Amino acid sequence: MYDVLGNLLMGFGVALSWTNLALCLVGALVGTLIGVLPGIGPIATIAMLLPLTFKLDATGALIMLAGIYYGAQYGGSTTAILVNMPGEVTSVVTTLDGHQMAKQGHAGKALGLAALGSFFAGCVATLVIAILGPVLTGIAQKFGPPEYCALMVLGLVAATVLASGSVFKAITMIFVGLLLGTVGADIETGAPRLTFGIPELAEGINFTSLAIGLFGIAEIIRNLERPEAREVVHARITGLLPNWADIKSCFPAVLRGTGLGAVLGILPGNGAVLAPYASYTLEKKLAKDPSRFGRGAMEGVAGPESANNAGAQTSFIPLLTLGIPPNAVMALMVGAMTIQGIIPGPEVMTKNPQLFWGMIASMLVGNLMLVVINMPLIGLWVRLLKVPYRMLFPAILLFCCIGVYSVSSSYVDVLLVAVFGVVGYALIKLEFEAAPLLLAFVLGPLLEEKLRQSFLISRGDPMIFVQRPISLGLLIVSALLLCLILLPSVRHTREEAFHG
Amino acid sequence: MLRVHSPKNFVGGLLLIALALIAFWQGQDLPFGRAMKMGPGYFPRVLSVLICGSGVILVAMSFYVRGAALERWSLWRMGLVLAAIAAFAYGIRPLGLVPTGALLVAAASVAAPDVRWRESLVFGACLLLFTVLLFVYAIGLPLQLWPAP
Repeated sequence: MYDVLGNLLMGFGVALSWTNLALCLVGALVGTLIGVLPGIGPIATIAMLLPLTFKLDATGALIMLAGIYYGAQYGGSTTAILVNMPGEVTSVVTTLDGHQMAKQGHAGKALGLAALGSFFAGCVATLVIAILGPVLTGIAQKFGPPEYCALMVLGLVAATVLASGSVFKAITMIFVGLLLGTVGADIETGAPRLTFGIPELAEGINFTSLAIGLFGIAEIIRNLERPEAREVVHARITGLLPNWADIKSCFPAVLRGTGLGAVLGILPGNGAVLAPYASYTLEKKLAKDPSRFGRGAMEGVAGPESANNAGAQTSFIPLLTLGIPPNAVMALMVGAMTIQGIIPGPEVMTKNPQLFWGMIASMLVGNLMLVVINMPLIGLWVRLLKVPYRMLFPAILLFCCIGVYSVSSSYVDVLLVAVFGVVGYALIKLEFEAAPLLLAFVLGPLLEEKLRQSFLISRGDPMIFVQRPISLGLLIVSALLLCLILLPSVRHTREEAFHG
Repeated sequence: MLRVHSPKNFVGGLLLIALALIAFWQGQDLPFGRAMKMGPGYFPRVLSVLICGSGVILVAMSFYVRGAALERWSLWRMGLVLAAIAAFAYGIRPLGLVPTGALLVAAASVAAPDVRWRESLVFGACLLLFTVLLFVYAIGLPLQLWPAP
């Protein structure tokens, strides 16, 4: 316990320097600014804003990115409440009661509850990271190649189970992602693979091109074909601070949401996605009068928003300790870290404690900043929501292009954005999920490397994966997950969770 | 008579098979190796077989399982957005940021269903000014602004 405090203090020493404070502030502000825009989720937001961090040192860049991340999350819930347009899956639940509250004239209270709940959840989740981080890092250092393989398999299986839509299609997306990950020079022999003779592809497909194409451009094309229909709440927003009675009635929901979110976020695969749904269902079950839900129940906003933020925060744990991103957003973080020359994994904490603890401390700072900045700036966000899409999207498109081009000044990278834009649009049209693809793309090279190492150790004997207890355990869990999803009752609940 | 019941899965499956074939063709010269000492071609080839298999299953299932009909693609808007990106890709080096950016905003504005030209012109000019100030002067990205002499 003492260690944790000491480490956190060191982290605050890093995070509270003027430059890092400023970076955290700018990140949170810009993240919210872009996140508020309807139809842009955190993935596209972070991908678009990546170039802002290129000139910074590694610690500063990560602090800013983390700020962008929770800024985008926060902005997403603002849009969900005010416009009834969720920026991403996790704020779908917030639209249910949040938008109802806004319609009844309680937009301010809904926003305030969401902000305060998120703040509380963010603080608790940060402490969870600080306590669990070192423990998991210790375990991770005992991991050999087979354990890493098994863990990644578990992560990918979980990602398919938690993807909305068909599980089988999600599995094919994993395969496609892994295949795209193999493009480029072979790790051992350097032989160019699947490059179509294009020299720019020798280093592999640019990660930012893939992410922006699949999530940014595809989304733009789809938004363009639909006529714009936004029901922005027009009334002046007042009464952001909830009164004592509101806090008293919502606090249990916030507490439960935080717990659920923190636990689900740590799980490999996209556990954090489930958190708001789980919290909403729980609150509805526990409520004395469940019929209030869907008609503007405060707990229906406070609980899921806390769960969402807690899960978003604790999903950093697998990334920082094991080097394995649990979801597409964290996959983007891997990309950002690699650009900065940091390989995510157990070494980050041992070799670079300043960066590790500085980032964790900055999460606390960033969460506080979000509450402080956003309460007075709500009016500005509302005005931003009224900017028509015909003006927004050329700007988004331009920023995306500049962002991708600035990674390595290569025009091929920009063309790839267009290619993956078409791919992403086709995936939307044919009802395939892009998130598992992106996750598999990031994990692919690591999975291949560890697989090859494992087989080298065992001289080609696949039994190595079942002879080691940890790897066997992880594989059994993966198999169970896959079997579970095939059960009709589980499948039904899952469909309800994503479409209900 | 066999009939396609879920066209989305049918088309998706065909595309997966096509992708697998392309990958297989591209990777055919890579040494496969053995499980103990995998060659560079091992992973891509195993994956293309898996993808091809999934594609076949999807196509086969589409004859039996009912699914949603295909949606219309707005090819025109998609083409314009892609053209805007391509204009940026090919223009940025020879033309510089300002003309390329103007080209991109113009192409993108045509794609908007409710474009208003005067508004787009003013907005585009402001956007370009802002972009230049932010990315070139504030962040210091090495982007050239005008065509090289």
